[in-house]
Amino acid sequence: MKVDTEGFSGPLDLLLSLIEKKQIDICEVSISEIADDYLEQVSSMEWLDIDQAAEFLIMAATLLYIKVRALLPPDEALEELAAVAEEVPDPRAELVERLVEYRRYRDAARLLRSLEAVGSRMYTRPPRPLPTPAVRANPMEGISGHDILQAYLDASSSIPEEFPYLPTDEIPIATQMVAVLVRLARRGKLGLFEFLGGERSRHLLVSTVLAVLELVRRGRISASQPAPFGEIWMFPTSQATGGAFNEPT
Amino acid sequence: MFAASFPLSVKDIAAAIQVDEDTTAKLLRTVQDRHSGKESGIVLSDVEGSFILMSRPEYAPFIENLSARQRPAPLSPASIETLSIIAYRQPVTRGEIDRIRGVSSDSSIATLTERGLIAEVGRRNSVGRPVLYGTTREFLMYLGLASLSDLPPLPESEDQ
Repeated sequence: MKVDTEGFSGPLDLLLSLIEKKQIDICEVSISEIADDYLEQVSSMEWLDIDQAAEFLIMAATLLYIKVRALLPPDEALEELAAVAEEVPDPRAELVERLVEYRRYRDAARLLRSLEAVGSRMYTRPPRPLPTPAVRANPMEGISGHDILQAYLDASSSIPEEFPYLPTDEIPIATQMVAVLVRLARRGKLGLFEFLGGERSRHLLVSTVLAVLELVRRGRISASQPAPFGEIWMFPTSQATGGAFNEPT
Repeated sequence: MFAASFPLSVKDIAAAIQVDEDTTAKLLRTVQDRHSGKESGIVLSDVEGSFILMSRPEYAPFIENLSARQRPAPLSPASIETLSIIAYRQPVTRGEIDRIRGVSSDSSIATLTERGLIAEVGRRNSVGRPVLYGTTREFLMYLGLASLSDLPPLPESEDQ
């Protein structure tokens, strides 16, 4: 990326280096003057990454805003506000604060860089597995009968008293697979939600969804969803014709 | 120590050589002292109280000549900046890192995670439960530090 080859990790880095080049204290810096340098530098950069370009441009806009504010006569409305409220956002002060904080970590990064130069060149042997223990340690070691009872009680307390009634008359998935294929053969295209909308019982819904997944897995139909959360369209594949209904599930 | 290519705790070593931990720690110091001079090509590094044999940095060029592989590229400016924020402020969220740097740190975080230098260490109990990042033992080894307290002090903000 072009920006990194220029050596700046971001807009704050660039701004800070421009300020330091002039050997001025951050708090004393004339933002108007720096804004010109910054814009000149940014306009000479080549942009390959649009997101990164945006970040540099946001900073350019901030600098221009500060510059313009400094040039304009004092805003009476703002001054009145300042008289009432303690805190009026001051973009210049905010920017200086960010620069000061950023500089601490940029300088820390330089310290880490010098550690990296040494530490990263200490080599270890490439990992090679040690012999694995032949006998596994006793997984029950140190566990008493009381612990097991307690674990059981903890686990059982989170289970509802009675299991919900599970009906036995399931709708076979194969039946629903046939239903989907028949409908598709007739219409050529079928919306999943539309199709499911006709199903009343929960069991039927579940079997239908499973049937559709099974058909997709077997390559009998294809499914596509043009938009997130949108309708899922099912289409018959060429395989779907001929003997599709007789395979075991 | 030579056979293991990862840091071994004093406890592990003590169990292996069947000596109590205090004696093991003393023995480890002896070995460390013996290899403290430049004439030794290896060092016994202490990483968070675990020990590993490593080559002495001064001898790196020879090892690099020997190895067909290139030495790993140093971290990019953006990545090492991100790493320094995580190292000094951990645990820290992506949002806090981005705010300090003034740019998105997504790709740096991905690189650092991939190289094992940082890891997710939990989630903050605030809106969105953002992931918290911290440095790993691999990070200490990468910089040749025994523990986080050996990090150089964070530069002061002299202008404030």
